[in-house]
Amino acid sequence: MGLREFDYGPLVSVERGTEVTTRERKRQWNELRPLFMRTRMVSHAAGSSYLEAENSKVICSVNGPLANTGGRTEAIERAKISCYISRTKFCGLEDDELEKRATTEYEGIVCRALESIVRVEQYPKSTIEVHVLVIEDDGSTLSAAITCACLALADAKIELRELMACCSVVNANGQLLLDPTLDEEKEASGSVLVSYLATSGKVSTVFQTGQLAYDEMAQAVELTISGAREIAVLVRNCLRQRESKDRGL
Amino acid sequence: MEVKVFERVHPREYFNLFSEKGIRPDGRSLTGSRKTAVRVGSIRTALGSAMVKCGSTTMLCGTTAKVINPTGAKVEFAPIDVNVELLPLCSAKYRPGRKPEESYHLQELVAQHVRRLVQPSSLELEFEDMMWSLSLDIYCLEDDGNMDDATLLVAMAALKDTRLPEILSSEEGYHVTKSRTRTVDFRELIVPVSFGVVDSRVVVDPDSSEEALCESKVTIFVDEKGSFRGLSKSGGSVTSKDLLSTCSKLAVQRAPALFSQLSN
Repeated sequence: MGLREFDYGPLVSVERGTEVTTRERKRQWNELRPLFMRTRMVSHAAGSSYLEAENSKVICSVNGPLANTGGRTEAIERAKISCYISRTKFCGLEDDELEKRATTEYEGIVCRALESIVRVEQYPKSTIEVHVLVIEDDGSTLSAAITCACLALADAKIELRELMACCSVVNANGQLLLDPTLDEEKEASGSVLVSYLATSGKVSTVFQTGQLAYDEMAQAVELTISGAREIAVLVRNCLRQRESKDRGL
Repeated sequence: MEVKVFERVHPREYFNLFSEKGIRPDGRSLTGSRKTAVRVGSIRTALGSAMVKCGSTTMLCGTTAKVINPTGAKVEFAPIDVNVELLPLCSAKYRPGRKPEESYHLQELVAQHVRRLVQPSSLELEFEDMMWSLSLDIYCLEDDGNMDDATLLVAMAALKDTRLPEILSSEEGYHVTKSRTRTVDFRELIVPVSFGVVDSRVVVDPDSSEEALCESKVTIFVDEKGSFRGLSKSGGSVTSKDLLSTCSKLAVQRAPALFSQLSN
């Protein structure tokens, strides 16, 4: 394997000391943060990806399909997807907040979201491991993790039914905000996360916390889908770029 | 036999075919090191941060700080905690769950050096014998061998990048300033240079496939003046004096390049 260039992209170029949050910088309520994504971050893993939305940074790698070793074998006809999420100590959350965010629950959400797109019946008696590391948390990291995991699975050449993009919306002081930052998440009274299947236009996961009126809920889901559609285009472009790069070599 | 299969089945013979001619499978000479790059300040939420890439090996480090009240009159060593995480993310050889042994080794290696290198007076606060206690959290993003060098380098780069806030005392109590100006001072800087010994040939900066073949590993620490500051060799085969002197010469040669990366 030859030497790779040091091209971690925006991970190394974020300016520090910018105290102004994005909405203060006139981001519209229905506007996404600029996204950067890349595949093949970890050259030894089967597949890997990196996703950055301004100050939220998530890296993901996929191992597998690996042979099931012992343990319970309740599903031998299908692959088991296991997901591990970790956060860096300096990711920006205080210790008590870290506890509040039940990582195990989040792992389950990512797993179930991925199960809806992976052709698990193609990989009997095997496990697909998805490892996510949240490097820096500035809001919407769960949805970033799901999108990032989907990108890594595609990079690992694991058979997928279709591509998935995930996006979230919060209700802060009666205003719906797409792709919230950490501060917006903190003052929100309710949040909705939707993972959107890019080809069929269907929704596979809806995860809601807090309080939302029925009308707001419907509106929020619509808003997340519009955001996820934009992300899906970026996911596809990212994979296409990688593909053309590979062919060129 | 196809080349890839041969490499897989007889890794040692494969390596020796190259090393006899003075080169390595990835195209480097035996004394050539991989491209090493240090970047600082990419994590906004940490007080200081750095990322080091040695070839594919990638380490990320962030600093956080808290105020402590150290016991004892004079603190000789800087209070710095080091935590190294080798998550399954970086390599399939680490499994989820228990922390691998290697991470404790790296943690100790970094801790014993940075505690000695950082000037404790630069962490002291002006009141009530309080002191900043720093904690370094190091995450491996990719493991492709020679973790010792990458870990120590990333820790030093992150400490150099660290800016601490001032603490002001007023009648209402203490408060922390938003601007961060205070730097962490070093007594001196050192860089590590690691060697692997494969069939009594010295290779600089071994990658993971070479590390698997190494009979022993030697790490030499060099300071800015180019003098020898330490050596670490744990276990492995017996290494001759000549071999060690070759290593120290090569280490002194490589050191300036690493210092220039650190000072950028």
